[in-house]
Amino acid sequence: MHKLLLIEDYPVISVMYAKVLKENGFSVDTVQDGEQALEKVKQTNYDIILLDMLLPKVNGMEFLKKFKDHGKTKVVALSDFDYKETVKQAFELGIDKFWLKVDNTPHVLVKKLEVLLKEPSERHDNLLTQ
Amino acid sequence: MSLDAYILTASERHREQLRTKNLYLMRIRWFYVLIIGITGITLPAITKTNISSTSQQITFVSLFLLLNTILFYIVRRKDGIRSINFYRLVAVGQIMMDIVLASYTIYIRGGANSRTVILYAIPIITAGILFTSVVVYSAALLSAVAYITAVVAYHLIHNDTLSGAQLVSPIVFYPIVFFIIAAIVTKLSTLSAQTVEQKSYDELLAMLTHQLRHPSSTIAAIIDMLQSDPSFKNLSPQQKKMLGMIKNENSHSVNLISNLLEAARGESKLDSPLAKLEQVNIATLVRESADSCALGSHRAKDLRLNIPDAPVTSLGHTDQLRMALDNIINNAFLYSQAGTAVVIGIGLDPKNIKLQIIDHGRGMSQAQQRVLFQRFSDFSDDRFGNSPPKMGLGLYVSKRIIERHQGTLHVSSKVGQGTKITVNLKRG
Repeated sequence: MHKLLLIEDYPVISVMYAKVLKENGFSVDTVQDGEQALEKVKQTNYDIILLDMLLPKVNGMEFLKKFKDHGKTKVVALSDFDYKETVKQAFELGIDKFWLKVDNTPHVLVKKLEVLLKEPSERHDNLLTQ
Repeated sequence: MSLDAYILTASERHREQLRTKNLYLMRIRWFYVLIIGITGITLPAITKTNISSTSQQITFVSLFLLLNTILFYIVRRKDGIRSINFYRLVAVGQIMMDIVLASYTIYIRGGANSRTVILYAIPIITAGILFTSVVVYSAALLSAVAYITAVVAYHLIHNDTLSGAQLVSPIVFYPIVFFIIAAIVTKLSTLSAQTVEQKSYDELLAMLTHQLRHPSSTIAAIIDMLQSDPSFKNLSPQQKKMLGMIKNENSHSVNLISNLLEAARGESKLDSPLAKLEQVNIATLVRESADSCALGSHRAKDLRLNIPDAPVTSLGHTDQLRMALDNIINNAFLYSQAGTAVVIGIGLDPKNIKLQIIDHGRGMSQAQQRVLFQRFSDFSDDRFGNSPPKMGLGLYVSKRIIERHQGTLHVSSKVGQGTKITVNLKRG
């Protein structure tokens, strides 16, 4: 069972995505802000993190800066805030994908995550070859 | 995060930027004050044996170091004093101190003969980094007054043999140099401020897009949940159809939001200056744009290019020219049927580049041609195939971009035969 952390401040979205992800075999933890997320990642090694970029307290970008050594954990930014500088910076900080929430409804997301989890982590491979 | 919270964060960020800039300038000034201080103390001490003058200089430089230290620690304070005006006041303090220090150095280094006059550039540049043009020119004026005072004081006190005529030239020349520096600094800081404003505007638009998309994302997720719920199959065909309609209208609204804000983003760039003019290879740019538009409309087979292999250059802004070309070439594909050719060619004369984009679509009436380059002139009904609705800003934006590059854009079209767009750009 893949361990997944969903970082999303809007409860309606969070509940729906968590429900569908659980139904499809993911073990899901949910948090509402970056601060709680940083606590969670200290306790658990997640296979995948779904990260909203605009969050209270510690936002997505700050979370990425503090969560540098994420080893094999795949990080997907799931947000509707697609300011090009933010997207660019997020990739520089090691995210694997940037997906728009509006295009990735819960069931679409599950299918894409299943594909993503089968892919070797490019980021990790790059680190090994450097 | 709400829009209010975003705006609040932006204001905090502005204060933080000012604080960071101040701190950065302070660090540079450590070296500056130290170098001047050491030179100021050691040179007279080596060349002269006037103990009183050396001790005066040591006192003066020590005072500067002390004041710098105090300012540095005040600026470093993260919490407590948080007003923007406070950081501005500190910056004015820095500028005044630099002018006084430069003038003192001029005085001890021999008045008008001193090359240290270049030190006045530092307060003027500091003003340019932190303030508007009024403060920059004020810094230049203060520098000029302080310089003249230092030179005249030196010559009066030392009874220097230089004649009045010999003094006039540096006293006139250097203040003019200060104002030239101020003019350059003002120009550069204006350009940089406009770039920053453009970035903030883009970020604000992205934030607005996010806010407008947010309900649509939630609706899309809810529909997704409903359609995959076991009870979905119990709905009547009519109910299922209505749910499908909600889904389509929702994605339609998302497209509209994206297009509207994309157009606003494109239009806003028209007001930003053509800061970095570069040699743009128009041949490559046209080829890239044509390939991308043809692929996007699944009509790669219809594209006919007649473009020289050798570079064809024009002075301009790559991103803006690409935006202009994309709009024009995309239209050629949108308003002509699959299977008909879209011909793009470049002709050259010694001074101009003549680019033609020809489609064999429906063409336009005279009335349509008259409003073609106006805002919101959308001819969606004349399109072939399915394409998302547009805001009717594409050709308006393209024409403005081409004209900003001292080029021209013409259209000739006949109903039932197709349209030819001609773009003329200067070679360079």
